[in-house]
Amino acid sequence: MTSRPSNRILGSLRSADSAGVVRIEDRFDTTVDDLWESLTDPTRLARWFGEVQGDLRPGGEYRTYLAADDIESTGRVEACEPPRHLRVRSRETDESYRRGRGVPPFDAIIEATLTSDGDCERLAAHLDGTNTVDVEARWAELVPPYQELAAAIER
Amino acid sequence: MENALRALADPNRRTLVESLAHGSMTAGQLAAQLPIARPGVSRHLRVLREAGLVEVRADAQRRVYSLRAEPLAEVDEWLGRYRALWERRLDALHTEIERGTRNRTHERRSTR
Repeated sequence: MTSRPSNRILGSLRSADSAGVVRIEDRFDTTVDDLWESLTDPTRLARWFGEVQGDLRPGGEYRTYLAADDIESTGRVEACEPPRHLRVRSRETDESYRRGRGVPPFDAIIEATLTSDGDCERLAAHLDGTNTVDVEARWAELVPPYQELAAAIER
Repeated sequence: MENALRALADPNRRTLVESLAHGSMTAGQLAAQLPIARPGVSRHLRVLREAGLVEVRADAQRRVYSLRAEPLAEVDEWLGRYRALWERRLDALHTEIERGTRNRTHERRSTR
């Protein structure tokens, strides 16, 4: 495995309309079309994300199955503007939740924005995970300072 | 943990928690950290106390607040699972991008 760019951001926080939004950002040494395809083509998604099946058009509904975590979700494509902007809303199915007993199902919005970064082959992918209603606070806590805080207090 | 997360979702309460990470403080010292009136500060401290994030003891006439580690450790563990998940996913996406790049290079060579 080659070395990863050091500009990955895993979970910086902002809040919008009382919901927590987590920003996940990374840069990929490729073209915007290639990155877009890897985020939207089921064959490529299957290799890094999970099985995605269904109506992959704006307004269309689909199912995903993440084998590594045994999580099944249903989702809807809310926005699709190739090759820059994709927004999907998904939710773990009740059956999958009963199997895994993880976090109770909630609506998660993943918004991917692809932007060129300086030289034209470097790109930034932004994935915003928002959840609505009662679990908003969970995401609000993906803040690196709290890891340090918790570690400092445990000593 | 639900209560701890709710409590921490508020920026003013996060400011109080971050201040307390450096050591115990009195109610007055904590109030000085926030740009809001005392009753508001008291409400925030009550939410933090009810979530188990802070404890309070009386020291003569003063109320002294300090942090409790347990809920934060739980939150941290919960977050850690999410971080690990996204770390894994992004690594896998990099691998997929590299695979695509390799294949295209290969195709170009073979069509020459």
